[in-house]
Amino acid sequence: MTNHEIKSLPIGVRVFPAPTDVDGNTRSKKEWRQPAGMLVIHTEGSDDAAQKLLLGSARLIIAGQCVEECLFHSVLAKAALRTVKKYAEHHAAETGAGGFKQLRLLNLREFVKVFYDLAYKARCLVVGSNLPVHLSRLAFDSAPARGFFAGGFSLGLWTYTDRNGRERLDGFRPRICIKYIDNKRAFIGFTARYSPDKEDLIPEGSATGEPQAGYIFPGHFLDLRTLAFALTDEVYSLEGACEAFGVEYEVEPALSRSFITKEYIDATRRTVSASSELARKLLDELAKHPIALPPTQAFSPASLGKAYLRAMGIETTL
Amino acid sequence: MARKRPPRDPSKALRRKVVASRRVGLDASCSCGEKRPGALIPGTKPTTCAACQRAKTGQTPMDDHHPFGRANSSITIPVPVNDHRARLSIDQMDWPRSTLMNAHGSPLLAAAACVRGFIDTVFYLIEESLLWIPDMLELLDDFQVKKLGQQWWVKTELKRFAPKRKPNDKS
Repeated sequence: MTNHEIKSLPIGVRVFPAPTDVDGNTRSKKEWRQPAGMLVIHTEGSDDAAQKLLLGSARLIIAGQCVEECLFHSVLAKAALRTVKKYAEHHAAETGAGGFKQLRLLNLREFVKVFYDLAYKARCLVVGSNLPVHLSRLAFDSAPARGFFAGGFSLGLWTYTDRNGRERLDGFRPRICIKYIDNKRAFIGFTARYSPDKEDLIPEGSATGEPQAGYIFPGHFLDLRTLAFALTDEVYSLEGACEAFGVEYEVEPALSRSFITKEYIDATRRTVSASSELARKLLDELAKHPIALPPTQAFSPASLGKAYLRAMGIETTL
Repeated sequence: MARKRPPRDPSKALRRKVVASRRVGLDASCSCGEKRPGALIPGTKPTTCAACQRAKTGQTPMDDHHPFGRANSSITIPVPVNDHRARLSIDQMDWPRSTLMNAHGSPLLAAAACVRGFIDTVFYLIEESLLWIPDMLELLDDFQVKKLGQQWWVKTELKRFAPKRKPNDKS
């Protein structure tokens, strides 16, 4: 070789220095176990700017099988309510062999009680595509969040009726806080509540079952859009994610939201069905990775990368 | 074969099951092998089931169960304490609360409780005393075929129980 010209090349070096206080790592070493039940929800909002809840649908899935399906609604006009009631009477729930065959119809207040039982008491995985929007449609009250969620919203879902017949926020129930990171990711969690029961103070995955004073169950909220983004680095709509992961989902041509029809209810139920199938596929996809990363904490492809580094025993400073 | 009837209210049944599991801790079990959270006593170290606890204190391992609910009938039946706590009482939790509590003593609710209680008890008895038998018989038949051949019963007294068939019937 005669050409001895020296060329400079850019070199990138990433360094992971060993942290000085290894004990300071607060990340839980416990293996995440998928909750016993999965509650999949979807709501439809009104046409106006507020996009208040009109109708929603939910499915309870246990051991991969749908065991209960329900429709829920807010205060509806008489004709719309008649349509929904008639629909629920004439359609069976799409449950498996051991499931509850009746399609339950609940008003919003009844549904949030079921939601409390499942999401907070039974600590189910709450699943939805663009979940913060659906949760906000269940809310009775909202306020600016504090603490970890500062800058976000705090939603009050549960109410009671006082002596004067007024609906008031129930302080003996937790609130749900939502803080958006960007348009595809948000932190979602329960807050504390007054007088929690002993079993609510038992930390998740406790081997002894002993209550721990001050423990706050944060909830298991899984936004399908976030998990799909973490797995693929693509921002998908529900239809796009279904197509990418091979889930059959027929998108309805734009249905009018001004009045509720059988087709409208069918479309809502189909969306929940597609969401549950998509959740199963995404969870299966995540399970292929040999990492201990809860799906509720997979916020981006970087979350997976960091989980891989941890699995390799490399302490990251990120 | 389905081993358990589906609950009347799956959401409430799940809540009860998850809360009971949480109270005794993850993967808790008694040294006797009892794993049902309802039968385990929360807070015991090591985890102990109600039957073992009774044995330790010299008490009877049997409970008097009110199959129709205490409010509806005073009839009781003796059942093992673990089954009482983890199975029969849990089944009653799935009844409508008004039927189980029957606060005003309605005869119709009492009648409904009798039907529900009878069904629960019969299912319990079927599961505990009958459901294992077909599985065992099929395993035993496999064992006999391997040991003595396809028609192992021909020269035994069991021949009289063999299904009667026409000579050419192979199905």
